[in-house]
Amino acid sequence: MAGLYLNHVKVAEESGGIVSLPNTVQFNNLKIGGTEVINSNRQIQNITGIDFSPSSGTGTPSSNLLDDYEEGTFTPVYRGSTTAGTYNYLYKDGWYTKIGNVVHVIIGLYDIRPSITSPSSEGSGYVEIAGLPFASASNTVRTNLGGVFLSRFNLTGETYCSILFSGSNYIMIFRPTSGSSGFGAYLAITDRASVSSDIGISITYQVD
Amino acid sequence: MALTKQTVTDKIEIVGQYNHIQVREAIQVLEDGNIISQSYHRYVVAPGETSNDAKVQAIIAAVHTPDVIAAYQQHLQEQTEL
Repeated sequence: MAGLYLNHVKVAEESGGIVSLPNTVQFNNLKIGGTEVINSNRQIQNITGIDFSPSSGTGTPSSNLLDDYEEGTFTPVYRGSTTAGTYNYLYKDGWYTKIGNVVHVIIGLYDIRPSITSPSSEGSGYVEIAGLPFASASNTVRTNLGGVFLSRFNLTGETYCSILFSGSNYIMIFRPTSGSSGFGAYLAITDRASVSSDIGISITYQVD
Repeated sequence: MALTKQTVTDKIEIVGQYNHIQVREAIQVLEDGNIISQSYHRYVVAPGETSNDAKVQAIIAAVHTPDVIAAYQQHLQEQTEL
């Protein structure tokens, strides 16, 4: 006998509360308190989280509880910080994965070009990538950094990164400067070097 | 057997110190009215921004007061200052 198969078995409270089961037990559509938590596709569902806190020792439910997972898409938007402008794209893709209080996003904006050429609908100010799926955590000073791919921009040096400040829902492109001469600079709308440009970003950030 | 597709706003959250409104849309494929596939699309409405969704507009009116918008703008300015 490979295992014990339980179908539609209800263990009553009167049985003493502790039930010993053999090493191999197969459940079909497991319910707890009337709610199905394992469905027929062997997927866990309708749970409030996975608590990794040890049964003894350190650890609190809030810091050890994995209480959220979600994946999906969003629509990134290229804009200027002073004047947003309007743009067309060949591709405009955003994907996110949220695990607990951390979100990872991947952004692809290809063939960015003003939607109107005469007069140009180009924005002004610094480059901002808006449309994020979640706002970044706002309760403390946290700066979230990620990588960036830039094509057909006038760049100063080669070290750029994507930056998402706390309590915000858009990304800027930052270039640090060495020494004590300055904090750095942001990529500007006027840095675009071609009719069309490309930006790719991968960044991970905390949320409230 | 009729296949249809619909987008519904299935979750709206107000988060953080500046009342960012996080909106989740469920893109659903239905067969005879039953969901057979679903994926999510999200966006955030920051103080001072707008939305085309009537429900979100009502929430914007309630939580994005002039004081909140001013505080958020001040916060952004301080954060991004070089």
